[in-house]
Amino acid sequence: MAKIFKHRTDVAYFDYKDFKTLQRYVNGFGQIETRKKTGLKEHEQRRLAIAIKRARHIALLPFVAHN
Amino acid sequence: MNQYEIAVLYHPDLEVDLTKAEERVTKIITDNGGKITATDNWGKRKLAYTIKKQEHALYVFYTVEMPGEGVKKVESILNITDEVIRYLIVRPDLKKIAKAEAAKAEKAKKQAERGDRAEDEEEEEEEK
Repeated sequence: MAKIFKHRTDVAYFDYKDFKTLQRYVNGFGQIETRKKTGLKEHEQRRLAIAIKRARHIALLPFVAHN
Repeated sequence: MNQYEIAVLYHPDLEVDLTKAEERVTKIITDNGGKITATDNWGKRKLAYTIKKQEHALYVFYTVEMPGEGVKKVESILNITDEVIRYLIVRPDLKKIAKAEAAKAEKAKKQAERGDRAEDEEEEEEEK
């Protein structure tokens, strides 16, 4: 499977407030993309998942989109 | 004392006069040994999903210096504060943020060293 983000590590720190960046890492349903697709390192992917979940809590990102 | 970041979502009806609600929240924080060092007001935003039957909320982010024991108390009081429809308290990873900013600055510096040629190329690509 091709990686969708070739220029990946331009984001060194995932901030939950920066939902515009996080939005690139979720699919149309609002699910977090897999490492295969994001091309992130393991620890980066973990930080990303935490940031997205925090953003969801304060309703910057949806839990489920298009419902 | 640790640095915390408190995100507070106020009820949208408070848009007209937020000062009273903000005072109340600042009092909750200061009463528990906290000190607000910075605030970031995003204003009224549409929520990704409804919270307490509300489509919108007022987003305010506080950076707070607070002892760890105060967090639980602040949480329990915010839970029963009607003006606040949702909150989030996190400890930002200051080391990681500093590292990320240093890396960003270095990248910008390298790009500047490479000179105007690289920038010109980028512009050409954009034109295409």
